[in-house]
Amino acid sequence: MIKITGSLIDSDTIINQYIQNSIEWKIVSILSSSSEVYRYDSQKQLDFELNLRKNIVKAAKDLDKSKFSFKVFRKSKCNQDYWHRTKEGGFTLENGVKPSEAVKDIYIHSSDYGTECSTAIVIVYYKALVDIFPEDLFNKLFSEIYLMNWQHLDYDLGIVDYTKVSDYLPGDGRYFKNPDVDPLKPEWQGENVIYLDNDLYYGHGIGILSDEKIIVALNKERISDSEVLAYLTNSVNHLNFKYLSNKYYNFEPLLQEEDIPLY
Amino acid sequence: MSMYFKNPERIKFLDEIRFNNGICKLKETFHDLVNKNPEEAVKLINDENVLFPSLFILQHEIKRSDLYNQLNVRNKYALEITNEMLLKEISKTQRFSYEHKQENYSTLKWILETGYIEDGLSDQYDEVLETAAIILTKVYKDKSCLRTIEEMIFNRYRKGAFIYDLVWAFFEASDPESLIMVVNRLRSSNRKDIELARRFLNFIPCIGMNGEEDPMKQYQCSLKWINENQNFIYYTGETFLQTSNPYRYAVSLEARYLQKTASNVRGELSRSLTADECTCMDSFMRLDDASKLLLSNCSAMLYRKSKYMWSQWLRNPIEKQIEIAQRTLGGSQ
Repeated sequence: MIKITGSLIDSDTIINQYIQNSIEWKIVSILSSSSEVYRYDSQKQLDFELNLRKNIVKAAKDLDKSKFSFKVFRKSKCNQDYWHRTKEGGFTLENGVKPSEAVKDIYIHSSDYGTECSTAIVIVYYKALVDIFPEDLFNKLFSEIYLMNWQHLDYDLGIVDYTKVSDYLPGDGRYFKNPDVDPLKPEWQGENVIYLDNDLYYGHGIGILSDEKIIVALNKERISDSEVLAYLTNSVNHLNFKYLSNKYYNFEPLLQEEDIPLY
Repeated sequence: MSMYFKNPERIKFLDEIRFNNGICKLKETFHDLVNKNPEEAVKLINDENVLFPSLFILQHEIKRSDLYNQLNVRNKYALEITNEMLLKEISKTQRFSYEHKQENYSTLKWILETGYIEDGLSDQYDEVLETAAIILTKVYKDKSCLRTIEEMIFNRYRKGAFIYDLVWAFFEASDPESLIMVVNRLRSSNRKDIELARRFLNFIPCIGMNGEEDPMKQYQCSLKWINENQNFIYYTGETFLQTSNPYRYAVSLEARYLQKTASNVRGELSRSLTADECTCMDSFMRLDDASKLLLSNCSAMLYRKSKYMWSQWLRNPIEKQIEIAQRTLGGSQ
């Protein structure tokens, strides 16, 4: 169920605000029919989360369609006009580059980039934010991006891991674990994914597939005599939607010279 | 330090050139030797005390000079293993097929134990070491190589190099005893060592909650915590690939409640339970997380104090156990 400023919101009323079968409609349907209480400070805080989740799904699908390749950290690659490849295989912003442009470049010149699945999910989160936030706000909040699996995460992303949740929502990050992976292919020890909708997941290097198909793919990369199957864990990670919403709504853009009244 | 480096007299001609004059000189010397005296070149590379880095560096020269068939078994296996590791697939030699499992072990040990000293030689070389480490801990459950792997991890971290596959190999051994090595890093004079040790030991309450406290205090409290909980902790399998803050070990509250040793896998109890213990466990499993924690803490405390008192307490119905635990520990766990 959904509570806004402490008041329970009628399911039908809120669901009918969104186009049927849209991502927002699906998320609100899950939230309002859940036994868990989802609390928001305002309707616009809820709308921000819905919009950001929708953009995460879109950014994941766009990355899947791009030429962004799968590479292990040792062989990762990036466009050096925008990013510096570190010794451990991650990417940091080149000096003087705007973070917003560097993130967009991953999608524009996607064939110049390649990395592992966990970093791809972080890229998806940044792309969803760059598509929503005013450029100045994005660049102010994320001035020092370091792309390298789940390490070096920017505090302002507020990514939190949950071991147990009541509901899984489009735009959530999830993890398939492959405990008996072939040691020659450690990159298949698990697959980080974004839950899209209609029981489909995006995983970098694996594509957009159902959970069963991802498990089949991971099982093929196990030690030959293994009897331990890959599985989808219960854990979830996602952005701190409320924190980001506050940043978004409280942002006051710097006045440009031409915006300043002359008298 | 690996046994291969304890006795400097064992360092052989080819390794000596590499140590003293570098990789280029080694290649040059070997190339000259192959041209002038190929039997001597084969003899030197097949020496039982030669170290893996020299073989790795000279592999292309060996191939080019058609010396492969004259290599001893260790060297042949090592090159086949290296080749398959870098190809990431079974080649025609099928070195990683099941039938070779036993004979690969000593070669993998040799690669890691004599190779780690040159970690950082090249991307491919480092990848071979990482893969050897993973196979040794994951397939062979070898714990004797953990000290070497631990040393490589911390050395690489100091240099900002790639550590994730080695970290994975180290923890996949699921050996709670190896945590002592990490705890010892809290006494290091190197800030980076302490930083990384704290990240690995975040499941220990005094580290997870007080990240910036005096490392010596953290060292002492970590040792105490491990000493008290070593029978009850289990490897969770969480990695840097999965989450930003992996908790690699966790306490099995069930094991702590019954004061039984937890197996290292998924926190299952390692021994079968008696009928009374099964009854206790059934009731315990129906409790909420806070009550489980309360009872496991109380059980540990009573067991340390008096085994008689502990066994008397455990005979009570679960409601009574909770009541006593709340009275004893204050109920705020």
